[in-house]
Formats: sequence, C-alpha cells, structure tokens
Amino acid sequence: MISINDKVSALMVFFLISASQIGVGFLGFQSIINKYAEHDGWISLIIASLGISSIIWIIYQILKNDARGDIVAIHQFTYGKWLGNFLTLLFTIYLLLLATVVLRTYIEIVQVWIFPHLNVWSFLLLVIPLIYYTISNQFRTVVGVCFLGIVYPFFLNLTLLYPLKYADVTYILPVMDHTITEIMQSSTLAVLNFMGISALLVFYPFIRGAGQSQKYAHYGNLYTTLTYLAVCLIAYVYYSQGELEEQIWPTLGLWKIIKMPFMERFEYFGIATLFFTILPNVVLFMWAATRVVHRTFGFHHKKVAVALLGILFIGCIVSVGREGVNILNDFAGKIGLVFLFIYIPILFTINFIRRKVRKHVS
Amino acid sequence: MNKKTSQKKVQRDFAKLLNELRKKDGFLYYSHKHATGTIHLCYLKTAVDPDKLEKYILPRMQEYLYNDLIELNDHIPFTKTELLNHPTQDQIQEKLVKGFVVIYMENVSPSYLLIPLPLDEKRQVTIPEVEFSVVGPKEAFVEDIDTNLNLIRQRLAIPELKIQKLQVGTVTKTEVAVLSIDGIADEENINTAVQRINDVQIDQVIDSSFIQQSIADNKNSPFPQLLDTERPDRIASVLVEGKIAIVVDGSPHALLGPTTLIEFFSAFEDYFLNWMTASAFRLIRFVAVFFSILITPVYVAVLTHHFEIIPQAMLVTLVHSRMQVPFPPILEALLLEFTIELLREAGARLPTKIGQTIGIVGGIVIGTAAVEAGMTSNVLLIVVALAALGSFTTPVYKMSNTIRLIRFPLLIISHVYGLIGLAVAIAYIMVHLLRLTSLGRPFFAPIFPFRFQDFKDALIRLPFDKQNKRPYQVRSSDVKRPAANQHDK
Repeated sequence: MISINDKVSALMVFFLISASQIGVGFLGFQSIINKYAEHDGWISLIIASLGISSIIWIIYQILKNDARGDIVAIHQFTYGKWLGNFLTLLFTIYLLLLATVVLRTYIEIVQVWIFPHLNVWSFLLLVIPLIYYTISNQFRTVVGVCFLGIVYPFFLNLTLLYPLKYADVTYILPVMDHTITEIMQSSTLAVLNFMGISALLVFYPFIRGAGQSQKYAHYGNLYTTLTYLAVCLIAYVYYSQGELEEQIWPTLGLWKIIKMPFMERFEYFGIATLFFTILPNVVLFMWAATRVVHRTFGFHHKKVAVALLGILFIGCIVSVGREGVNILNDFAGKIGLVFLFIYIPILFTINFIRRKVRKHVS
Repeated sequence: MNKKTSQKKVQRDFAKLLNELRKKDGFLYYSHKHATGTIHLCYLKTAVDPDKLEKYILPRMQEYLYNDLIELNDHIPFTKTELLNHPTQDQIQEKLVKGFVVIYMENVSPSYLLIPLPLDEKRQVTIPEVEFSVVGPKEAFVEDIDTNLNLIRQRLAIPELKIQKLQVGTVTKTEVAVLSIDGIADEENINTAVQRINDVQIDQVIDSSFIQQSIADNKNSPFPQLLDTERPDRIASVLVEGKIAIVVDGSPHALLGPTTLIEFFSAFEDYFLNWMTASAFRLIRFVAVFFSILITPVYVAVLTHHFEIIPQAMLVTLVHSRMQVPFPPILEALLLEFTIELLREAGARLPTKIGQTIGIVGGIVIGTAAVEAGMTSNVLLIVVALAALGSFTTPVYKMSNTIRLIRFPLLIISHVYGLIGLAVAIAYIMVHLLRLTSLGRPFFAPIFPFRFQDFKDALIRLPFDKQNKRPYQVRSSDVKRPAANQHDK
C-alpha cells in the first residue's frame, strides 16, 4: 500500500504530464512533422494533441475502476496472471525504450552542437548516477524534478520571441493547403512528442484524490500543445519551406540568432538549460519501469533500478551515430503509436467486458 | 534500637566520605557544635560562591535555633535545596562538583542538606554580533541556558509556552530544552525533535551545533538542516509561527526547525523594515547567492570550451586581460578561489584587529601584485571577489560556508564538461535539495512541494496583515493568524 506521505497532490498531474511530454522533441519536431503536411504541420500538431487527450480520457476510464489502479493490477485482472505479467514486461521494455530515445538523442545533440568528441559513456557515467539518485528515493523526488523541469526552463519559451523580428507570415499561408491524409500522416509523426503520458499508467495510484485529477492531466496536455504550437508557428514563419527541409533542429537555429550584449550563440546556453527538461523525461520513465518490475516480481526497488539503469546504459551505447539515433526515434514513434492508439483502446474494451462478466458472476 | 544502628551506619559512611574527599584539591570542611548536636559542612572551594556562603548560610547556621535540618532548610533563602537521608558517596560527590554545599547533621533524619551555591561566572547579555541588525532589538543569547530561556520568556510571557527539558551526552550530561507553543506548534514536530534528541548517543554536547549535527535528517549533506540563531527575538517570532526551538546549555546559539532552504536567506532584519525594502533586499540576496555559486564556474566553462558565446567586443577585453596569464582558466580560478579562502580562514582565526590588516594585505596587495605579475587576469579577480562578496550576504554563517564549498566541485566539472556539466551538477544539487528534509518536513518547500501560501514570506515578504495564515510547512494545529483560540472567549 502506498502511504499518504508518498502521494502528491492532484495539481502535480499537470506537471507530471507536461514534463513527461516536453523533451528533446522540442528542439526539432518542426522539421519532422513538416514531412507530409508542410506549412500546415501545426494543424497536425493540434490533431495529435486532441488524439492524446482522448487517450488520456480512456486511460482514466480504465484506471478509475481498480482500487490499486496501475497497469500491473489492470493487466493481471484483465488477462490473468501469466499473460498479464508478460504484457507488463513488454510495457517495461517500452518505457526503457522511451528513456533511451530521450537520453541518446540529447547526447546526440550535445555531440553535434557542443562537443563533437564527447564519449557517450563518459557522459552517461555522469548522468546515470544522478538518475539513480532521483529514482531510488520516494516518488516525491521524481515529481519535484518534473515540477522544476517545467517551471525553471519556462523562460526559454520567452527567448523564442526574439526571432519573430524576422518573421514572414506568408510562409504559413494559405492555411489548409494540404489533404486530410497528409495532415493525418504528419499527426502520426507528431505523436512521438506526446508519448510520455504512458507513465500515467504507473504513477496514477500515487495521486491524492486520483479520480479528480483528470482535468489536470488534460491541462497538462494543453500546456504541452500550446508550447509546441508556439515553437512550431515561430519556426514556420521564420524559416521558408526550403530551409526547414534542411534543418534538423529548427529550434536551435532560432536560438542561434539571439544576441545579447554579454552573450551570443544562445543555443549553447539553451542546450545546457534543456537538460532540466529532458531529465524529468528520463527519470519518470525509469522510475515507472522500476516501479512496474518491482510490483510485478517483488524484487527490491533499488536493485531493480540498478539493473534497469544498466540496460539504459547499454541501450545508449549500442545506438551509434546519427543513423542509429534516427532509427531509434522512428522505432519508438511507431511502437508508441501502436501502444497508445491501438493497444490502449483494446485494453479498455477487454477490461470493460471483463468487469461486466465479473459483475454478472458475482 | 534499629534506628540507632542505622544512624551509626550513616555516621560511619560520612567518616569514610570525608576521608575520600580530603584527597580532593580545594576541599573544605568545617564542623560546628550546636545546641542540638554537631553539624558538619563541606564544599569545594572552586565550585562555590564564597560571598553567598558567608552572607546567607553561615550566619543562619549559627544564629537560629533549630532541631533538625528541615527547620534549618526553612531559614535558608534558596530554592532547589535537597534533603537526603542516606545518599551514596557518588551522589554527594556529583553534587559537590556542581557547586553544592553539603551539610551533615548527626542523629537526625534526614541527615543531609544540600544547598546549591554555584559560582556564577556568566557573560552579560550583549548585542548580537553574528546577526547584527541596525534596527530592532539588540539582545543576543549567552552561554547560560537559564538566562537564554529567560530572554525568550520575556518576549513570550504566556502560559502556553512549553519547555521540555532533556539531558544529552553520556559524559557532559548537558541540559537541552525543547520549546514550543501549545496549541500552535504541531505535536508531530515536537515528538520528532524530542525523539531524535533522546536517541543521540554521543559523550559530549559542548554547543548546540553538536545537537544540530546529531539530529540532522541527512548527516551526509553539506546543507545545515536546522537554522541556528543568536537572537531571542527571532526564536520568539518563529515559535509564534508554529516552529519549535532547541536551546542547549553552554551555547549562545539556539536552533529552530522545521526550516526551509529559503529561510536561511532571510535576515531577521527583514521584518523590521517595511515590506517593499525588505523584499528588495531579500531578492538581492538571492541574486547574490546564485551569482556567487555560478559565476566562476561559468567563467571557467566558457573560457575553456565555448568562447563562441562571448560577443566580439567583450572577447577582446577578456583576451587582452588574459594575454599574460600562463595558466588555463581552471588553474587560474582555483588559485584565486584558494587565495580568497585562505584570506577568509586567516581572518577568522586571528583576533579582529589583526584580521582587518590581513584583509587589506590580501585584498589590495596580493590582488594587485598577482595581476601585475601576470599570474591571474584582472577580470577573473573581479569575478572571484564579487563571488566571495556574494557569499557573505547570506545571513546564516553555516549556510554561507556551504555556498562557498559547493563552488569547488562545480568549478572542476565545468572545466571537464563545460556548460553541460555545469547543468548536470546543478541538477545533482537540485535533486539533493528535493530529497532533503528538516525534522521530516520538505526542505525545498515552498518551491516544491509548491505552497502558494508560504510564498508570502519566502522570496519576498508581504505585509504582516497579508500573511494571514501560518506557514503550511510547520503543519500548525492553529492555521489562522491571529490565533483562533484567543482567550477572551
């Protein structure tokens, strides 16, 4: 049973949701969703966000009906012990994959922009103890990192107003210039940047008055959407289509032109500050993975954390170079799409039927 | 018959005791034949106040008529006297050391009277020197616990003020008092503190810092987790807020908790100024702290790894000042930081007057000479001096030490990993602060857990009437301010 001291207030769901979503994607999603919808990419973003909002609703519908209310309990109830635990294990791997994608992509950005010769393992040796230090304690610490991960880098959003000096609104006109299919295709690419909500399936029982927290989850998703939308629109009015196709990380390009009397090349500072945005991602996913394994198999929380961080370390090392990172990102995007939009509704349906059947029996 | 033999035994024991005590240095013994029997008096010369003995005890012993020690006791104008019938040798010895005068009378029961006449060598209550304030009360704690408790009681002359006395230290047996206000302070906080103090297993408690370190939530943290203050007015104020205070005998610093990181940066003088000035000064202090921690590491990180981020005009100045310097930025910075620490340590160990000279020698002579010799750049000299200045704005001495300490690991990591490493190092500190607690309450509040109510007296200080609730941090059982349980009901 989770003691009342470990629980956090319902308002924190807002920060947990948005901190789990905003991450490395913030730096470069504009050119990814540009692929099909081009200058209408921002519409794809809104559609993806609406989709995610409905998934949040479904997740709450599933979780509300179980007293212990996390994915381990739901899986065991729905599929029985063996199949349930097996699916939980797959879910853990999915969480580990997300953590690896975020961390490895961040290291990739650091390598490309700041330290070309940075060894992946040496940076990992610096960061992985920090992750362990965060997740080995109470859940409160993880929530604290998420909270500060939203509050502290907030000023970065304001710096993006600077490039508006060079904005050309005609770049995004005419609106709705693409077919629904194209926009939907871009939406599926945009979903990668919202995938963090999967952690909700694990931390749900840690929320005080969890049933009432749903609105905060939606607000969190809304905050993410607005942030993305702002960054996306600024990039779209700043870059022409031709430039966007060549940019890998448009946000960094936006920072590059900021000049202050004591500072140029703002992206150096931006990338360093962004560490506080990616840290919540990684610690939340790693905490969730650890918690799930701990709940399923009953191993000691700290030992599980060490083992999983070992896997994270190896995962980051084996994905080599720009191509490796790209493959990792595409793969995670596809898995996440399947998980959120196909598996979650299926789980909901089966769970619903199981509950009805159980009720009739008793 | 039985009584007589037991009296004999007491007499024998006293004779034995006397033999034992005569070996002690400064032991004095008189006997006096009185109308009702022989009376013996003994004490330790160095522990007893001779004036009081002369003035109050000896005349009364001779002049009054009394049949036993109970009657004599009634004539003596001291409280805390003790009447004992058959004490052990150890008991007597312990009392003698504490400054008691032992009176023994034959053939009566009780046969021993112990009168406390300790020699009071107390420092006078003076003005606060560590937490000096221009306006406001000018009293500071002294070493004596009774004086200190009295200073607090004068400001809180209410029956609700609860003082729990404990004894800590297997050898020193130091008196420790836990103060709280009934009906305002949370029972759980008091219990936590009392429990932890009772669990302390050390042989000596010379100062409140011993308690502070022994009952800290995380003993392996550079951050102090209980605030120490020498101002009785501050203690009185936080008690009303619902916190608890710990006063230790022999220490001019009282502890208070549960506290937060932010409280360490609020000077008590903030409450004596109007809220706008106070808030502005507090904000300046926070900026100073961040500046103090980060500026040298940023200098090292930028000059070692990313000089692209310095604008051209500024780069010229920087390069020009560093042209003569043969060292990499990290060595240059460590050298200067070390010099500053050296000056501070030398100034702290030396008497005040010589300390000032050291400051001048260090600040002006060494600084200028180092730049002229080409050992350091004058830009870094400015940076390091400002950083040192920034760390001294922290009102609590122990916290300002912490701030200076954590700069060194940051410097080294900035040298190795640049700005990214600096960000990771700050994240380490952040997570550490998130994990810390003070008496079981989160140390990083009200930032996280976010408490809007407590922000009214955190980074800024709002007017008193706007702070209409006690801080959530202390879990006060009487949240509303002014107190809801007023006595005019």
